[in-house]
Amino acid sequence: MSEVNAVATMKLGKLHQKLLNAKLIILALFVVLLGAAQVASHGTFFEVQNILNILAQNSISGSLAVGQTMVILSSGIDLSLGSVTALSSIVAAMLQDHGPLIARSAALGVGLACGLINGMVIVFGRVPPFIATLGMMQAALGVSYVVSNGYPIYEKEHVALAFGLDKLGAVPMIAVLWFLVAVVAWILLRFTRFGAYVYAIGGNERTALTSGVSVARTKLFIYAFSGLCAAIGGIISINRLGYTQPTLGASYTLDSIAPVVLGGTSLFGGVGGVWYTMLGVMVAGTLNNLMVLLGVNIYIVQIVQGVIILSFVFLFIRFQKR
Amino acid sequence: MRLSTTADAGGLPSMNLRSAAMEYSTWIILLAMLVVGSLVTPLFLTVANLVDVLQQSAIIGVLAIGQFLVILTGGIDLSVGSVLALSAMLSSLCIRFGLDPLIAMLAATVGCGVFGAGSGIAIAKGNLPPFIVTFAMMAITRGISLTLTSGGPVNLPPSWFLSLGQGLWPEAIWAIVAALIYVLLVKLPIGRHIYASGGNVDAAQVSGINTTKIYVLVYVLSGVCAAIGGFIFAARSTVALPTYGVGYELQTIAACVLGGTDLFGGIGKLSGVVLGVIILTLLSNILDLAGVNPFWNFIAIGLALWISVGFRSRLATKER
Amino acid sequence: MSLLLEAKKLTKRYPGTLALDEVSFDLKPGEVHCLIGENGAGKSTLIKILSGAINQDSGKILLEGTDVSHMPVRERAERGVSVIYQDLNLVPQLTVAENIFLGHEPRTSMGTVDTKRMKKLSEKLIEMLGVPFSIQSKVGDLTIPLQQLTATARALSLNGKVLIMDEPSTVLSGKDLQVLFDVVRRLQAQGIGIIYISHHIEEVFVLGSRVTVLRDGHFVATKDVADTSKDDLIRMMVGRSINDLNKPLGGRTVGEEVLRVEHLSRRHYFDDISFTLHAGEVLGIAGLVGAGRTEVIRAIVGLDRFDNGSIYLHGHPRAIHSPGHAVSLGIALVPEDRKAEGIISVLSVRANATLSVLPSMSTFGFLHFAKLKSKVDGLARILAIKATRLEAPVSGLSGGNQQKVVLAKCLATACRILILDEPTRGVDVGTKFEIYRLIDELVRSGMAVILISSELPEVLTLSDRVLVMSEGWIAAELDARTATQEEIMRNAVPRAEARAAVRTVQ
Repeated sequence: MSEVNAVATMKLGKLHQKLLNAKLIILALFVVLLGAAQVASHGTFFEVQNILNILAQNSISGSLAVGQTMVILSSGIDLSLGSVTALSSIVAAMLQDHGPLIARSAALGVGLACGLINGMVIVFGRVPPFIATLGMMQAALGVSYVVSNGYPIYEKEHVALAFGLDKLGAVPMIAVLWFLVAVVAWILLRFTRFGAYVYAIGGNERTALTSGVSVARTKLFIYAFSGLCAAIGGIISINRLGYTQPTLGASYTLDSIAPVVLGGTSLFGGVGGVWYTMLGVMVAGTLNNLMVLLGVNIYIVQIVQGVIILSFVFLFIRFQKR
Repeated sequence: MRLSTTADAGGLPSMNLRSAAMEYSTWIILLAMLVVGSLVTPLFLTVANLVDVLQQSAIIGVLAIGQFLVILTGGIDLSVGSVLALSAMLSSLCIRFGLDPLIAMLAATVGCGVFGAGSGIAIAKGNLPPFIVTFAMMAITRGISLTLTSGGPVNLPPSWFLSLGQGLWPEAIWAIVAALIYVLLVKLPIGRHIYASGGNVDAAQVSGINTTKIYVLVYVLSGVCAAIGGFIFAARSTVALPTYGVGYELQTIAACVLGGTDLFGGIGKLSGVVLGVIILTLLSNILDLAGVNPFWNFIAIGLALWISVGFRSRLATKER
Repeated sequence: MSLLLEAKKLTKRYPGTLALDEVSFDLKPGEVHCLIGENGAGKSTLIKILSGAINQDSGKILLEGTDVSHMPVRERAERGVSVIYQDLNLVPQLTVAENIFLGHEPRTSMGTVDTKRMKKLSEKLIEMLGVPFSIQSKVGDLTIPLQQLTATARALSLNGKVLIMDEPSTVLSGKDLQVLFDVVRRLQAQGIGIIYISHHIEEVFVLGSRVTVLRDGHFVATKDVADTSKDDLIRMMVGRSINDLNKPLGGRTVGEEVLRVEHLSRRHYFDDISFTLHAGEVLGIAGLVGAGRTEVIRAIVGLDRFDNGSIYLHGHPRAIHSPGHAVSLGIALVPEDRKAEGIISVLSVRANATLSVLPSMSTFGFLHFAKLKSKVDGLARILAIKATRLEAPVSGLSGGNQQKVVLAKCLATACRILILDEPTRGVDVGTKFEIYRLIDELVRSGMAVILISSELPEVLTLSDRVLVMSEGWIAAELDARTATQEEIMRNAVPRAEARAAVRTVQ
């Protein structure tokens, strides 16, 4: 067991040890992936338009993945992100007559509220995050249906995302927004007291508690933040798709977890970060794009995705020091 | 640590109101639902309605039993819904191509069992987290189902296979599966080994239990249960679609949790799982009879999860 | 008399350490052979090799003459070698009977579990141990002593000949300890050979026929218990005389009262606890495991609640809501279980050391990295923390250095009251003395310290006054300068058993 690992790491030299760093592995794989993409697509991959497409396509799951990263870092999980995205986008769509400011604020409010409810159920109800957010996923889905009566709601008049622009130069505004969300999360995690607490709780919650960390307050904040991320995802999805409906969130939840895992953040908490996840999103996005370019049967894509996730996780677990 | 109260030869004075509530909490919830339902409408407590409830519960019921076994070992199986679809597709295709339904079901069961074994091996030997492995397996099996017919349906020709989804057959199949698993868990030694593998892995290994075999076994059984669920589904709908079973995994988990199963493993009763499934179906049944917008069902499930688990959780950690 | 178990020149190497160096050991039928040594001496490795859980690099093991050197665990267990590990390895959700026969359940001819036979056999085993309790109870519902008996019954269920007990007395006290001793003597009388590991040297003289001392993986000596003394054994274990450990560090000036606790009670855990603490003094709290010492201080720092009583800080009554609140009031705690509550293994030394003081090291939530760095650098220097890089995860540090990180975390808070719960548990001897010196320095500069320790020499060496807790209440308050280990032990043990449990202490 640990005996074998000890011997194995002794046999590899110091240089090899350095290389077997999770971050470097994904980076290397990503580069290989990019290379393969370029070759396989006969050069169409690196066309500007294609790259921009990838960014746009992944803005929603990317924003959700940022919130999910923070939750997973604290050794929790948020299964409700997809439903909250759908719900907040429905609320925004229903209020579209009142102007984008009110509609979007309402969406953010919904996301925040759902997140806080999750947090409170977890902290005060002592319900494990898996079940608490599973419950929210169902509840938010139900509310989405009730509010919309099951029908899709269309954007009557397209409203630009920000400052009257849908593009910042050539870059889609939704990608910019996604990036901003990531930066905010990064700043919170890296530079603030709150971020330090997130990692501490994920690393060992009991120690954090005994050391005086306000675990309850931090957790409430974490889930509120991921709720906000879901709401932002909802706003992006209306802007991108032009309509919304309750079933929208169906795949988003798991789509928000996969990049976190691909990026190397440990499901056990305490290890990882936002940029790891961003890399994970790009890897997933590139893969999808590549398969589309190659004209791969859309159904095979799913199979490949599954296999890729398995392989990545396998590699991480093998090469991460325990 | 508690003061050593050696005065209690035989354990703590545990049979007080609190732990009794924990033990029978699932029955209490069921009772509450039956009461509420009968208050809502006299149509509720009729044989016809209750039998209908059982029939509707059957598919999730079978799947939930497999999920229960997996959760007992501290794992989780997110692929049950997709494997159900795969089984429906495989068996239906085989029947379409002229194979005897029995052979078709056997083939589909073996196929699903193999996928289950794959998950189990990746988890047990590869040390990969069950969440991720079964998540990936979910994608893979869903993808295969879709690829088989490029997303299209498989219509079933008339045969005795279709009767599996009619009348009392779904419940009967569910009951048979439950009975078999009951024997496994309670009568055979391997049942205790499963509980041990989830309750305290070290203890299990030290006792000479091959926990790797146990882990693989439960995922195979889960795959088999999902396969059976797929048969019932296809038979009932007379057509197999690769989009069946979406979201079923979460329903099975909800049923297990409502039934008192601990997600960390080692704790749970088969009866609780069966009750949990019935409770979930009763929920939608009552709402339906009350004329409430069916979408409220989702909200009700969410609330039920929060309340039942929160209640139990606070009950258990009363010490702090 | 033929030997039951014979181990010849066992050697085991791990990368970087020699865990066992040609250690030989033997066991006679019906004897209790005690195995002692400090943490890291090789005791765990030896018993793991004897049971077959790990393989030796070289050396032989004979069981009643048969070579079992490379036999797997199951087979060895069937031949009669069983281990009762410290963490008992029981499945809480299964019943006593199910745990006893886990993995080797009696079967009917049809292959199902023969519950009737299992019940009968379990009852017989429990009877053999002499303590009646219900085998139908779920193990998780039992008290620790009864769980241990279950584990013992399990070890015996497979044709027990050799029983290895790994620190069985660590979690016991008072009456339960007596029960353990009775069980051991009973088994001994039936010809079973017992290898008994313990940190409490007194037990060697209560139970043992022979004793073997290991140090740093080397075999030091095997002696008949009658031919040796406690001081002898300690000298062999540590290479140091007991006198060095026992010299009380004196000459402190005691200041004003900083903490007063009055009539603190919590049902089932402690009752009517009152004491005062002054600046510049060390208040030791001695007692057997389970006396309630940890529970009392957890209540003081706000980790657990209490039912009655009041706490006064510097004369003012205070309600302490949480550990964070306690820190802001100047109270810091080094918890008993380092791994579970003291450190965060995956985080760096820096992150761990600054965890309690982040509010004062940040503005509007943003951290002052320069301030944090200098703080940690300073503390690392003062405490002499040996770590290759302060950014590396603490999991890579030795137990002693990890404990220093926990201390750093507390000192960073500029606390005025420092509570230490078993601060040198799992810490190597060198670091132990460093910590003693540190405590003394802190106290001389005005810190008030509460020290909980199960090591009597430690308590007497460091403390000014000693509270002795027994079964949830304060049995005595002694002056550390004049108190003896025997006096503490007498007060710590429940009244009725005082005579029976008094160990012959040098």
